[in-house]
Amino acid sequence: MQHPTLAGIEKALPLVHAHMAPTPLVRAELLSQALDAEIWLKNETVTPIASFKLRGALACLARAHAKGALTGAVTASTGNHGQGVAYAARALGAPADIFLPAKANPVKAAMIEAFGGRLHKVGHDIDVAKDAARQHARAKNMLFVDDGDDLDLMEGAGTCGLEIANALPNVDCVFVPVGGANLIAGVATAVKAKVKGARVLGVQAKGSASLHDSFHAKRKVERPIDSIADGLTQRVPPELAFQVMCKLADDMMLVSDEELLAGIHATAEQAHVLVEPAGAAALCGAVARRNEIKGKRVVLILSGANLTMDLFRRALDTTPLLGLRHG
Amino acid sequence: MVEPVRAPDAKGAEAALARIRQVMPESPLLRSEPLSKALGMELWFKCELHNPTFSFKLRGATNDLLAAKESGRLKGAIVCSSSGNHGLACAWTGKNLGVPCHVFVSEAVGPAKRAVIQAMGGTVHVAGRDIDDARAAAIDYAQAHGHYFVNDGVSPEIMEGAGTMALEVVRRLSDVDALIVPVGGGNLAAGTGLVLKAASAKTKAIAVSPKLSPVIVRSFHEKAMLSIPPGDSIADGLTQREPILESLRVIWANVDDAWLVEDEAILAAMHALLESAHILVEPSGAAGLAAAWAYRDRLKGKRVVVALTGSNVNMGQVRKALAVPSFAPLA
Repeated sequence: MQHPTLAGIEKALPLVHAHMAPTPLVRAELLSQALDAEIWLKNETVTPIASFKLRGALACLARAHAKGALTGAVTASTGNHGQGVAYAARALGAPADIFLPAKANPVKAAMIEAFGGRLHKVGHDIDVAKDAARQHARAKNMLFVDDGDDLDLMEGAGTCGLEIANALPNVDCVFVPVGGANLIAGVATAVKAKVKGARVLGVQAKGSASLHDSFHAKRKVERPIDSIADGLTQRVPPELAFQVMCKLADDMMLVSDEELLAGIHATAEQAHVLVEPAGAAALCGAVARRNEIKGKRVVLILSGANLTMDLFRRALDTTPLLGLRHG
Repeated sequence: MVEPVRAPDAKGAEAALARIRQVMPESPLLRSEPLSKALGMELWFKCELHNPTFSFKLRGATNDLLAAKESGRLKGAIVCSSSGNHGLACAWTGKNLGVPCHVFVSEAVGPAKRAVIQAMGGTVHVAGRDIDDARAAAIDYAQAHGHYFVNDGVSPEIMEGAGTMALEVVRRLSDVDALIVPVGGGNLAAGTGLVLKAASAKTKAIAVSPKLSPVIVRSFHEKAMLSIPPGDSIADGLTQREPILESLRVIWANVDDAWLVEDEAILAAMHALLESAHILVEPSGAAGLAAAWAYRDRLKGKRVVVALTGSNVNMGQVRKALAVPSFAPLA
């Protein structure tokens, strides 16, 4: 299996930047004080789809488009990847069919439609939807963009890491939310190649620990899914992401749904950014490792902001992580 | 010391952009699909949220203080008056320049905002019951100690610095029909008007205030310097009792229209931004979208850029916003 490379990510960067600006990387003064570290936020909520997933979709579809092979795109996704594929396909002038589990996040579903994607709701989880999408793509001769084993997607996601390494060449540590692990695989490829000694740490939801458990077992294990963090869930680890994660990630950790909700609250209160549960995972990870990161230059990837207001209200009902003393 | 000043101009905004680039990258400009659909216009957001002090105010403060440093006027400490965000911006810039900063706020500025100014390195002084009182106290303090007063509302560098936002917009996007900005003290409206007249004359500069603090909007329409005590608007960054003549003159000459919005519409706009654009803003930062909604008939089918000017929000304000129905529910 071919692994992503820095050269591949560098080639993906202009394909991505043709349709989205580099995302903000901002020093967070209050979080820096609270954690006694230099905390920077890589804000992937500031893309047209409010998620990093646009990067991979743009890189993947732009490469297919350049080969003249893009008649249309198909994918299965819990949401953000679906939005990415819908947006990227429209940007390149092609149709997109997006398959979702029947109980998909309604905000994400509505956004896919807003970007011109055609919705198909199938099955009880993402893997069932994926099978249906694969069949549909074969039958209609469209490009199936698997949110997992796809080198172009991974190198596209890696452009986030490249932007970080270019802007902060002396970064010590990057915390990355992990669902299917494309983001951490791509980010680690770029950051490790550009910044000697930088550490890359992955954070997954306790209720969906397949990548975390696979990393520590050094073999792929399947885990059930039970988490509010629909961006951090994966039942079966994808092979390529699993391999790259095992090779490059320094550690993997788990956080609970309660921590993620408190992390959403803290991110809104102290950094004034709206994030979805997956988008709060990096902050939760940094808080869990606060002794380890003291005095270090740390980047937290805020991976996305697609959440329902009901969930946001629940987050506001928690005691925030690192609560403001004067709030 | 407070010194007589030159009038701001569009060339100054160009120079300001070069200074500001040393500290902050171009801010994001994003098109919102769901809200374009809901409002019946092509709606873009200029997001002045993703910088260390969470608002557009860093533009003016950076430009003013860097220009003062270049010309040797930055002597002693920095002194400013602020309802919050301008103070944050001055404090943060002072910290970066290694210069102490004294921020004068009124009693109306809550403890959370004061704590954040202190966290950014500013020394907070509470003076008077509104921003105009705090400003007078700050000027006295600067004069008494020989410090540099950041003359918000008067300094051409602050207006030109604020105007760089419009410069970024028209360089990035062509044929913009309207650029809507909230107006509190008037720097952003003044700078925006100046830049648009010079760089994109077809783009209307529209200034928006809460109905509870209408002094700039009414002074604009009545072509007179009015004094109107503000009510207790949720948009705490937009309250003002009296215009400052220097910025009001620029607004009279360069801004195309000025509108008022209800607090309820501001909260609904915050809710809509959270739900449908996934963007967190403070109430003042949502006033432009509230106006685009309230005046949507006049903007129908147009390419409209709304400035989201800040996100320095407390969770009480967020809860209030979520309690008011969005005008564009998503699902």
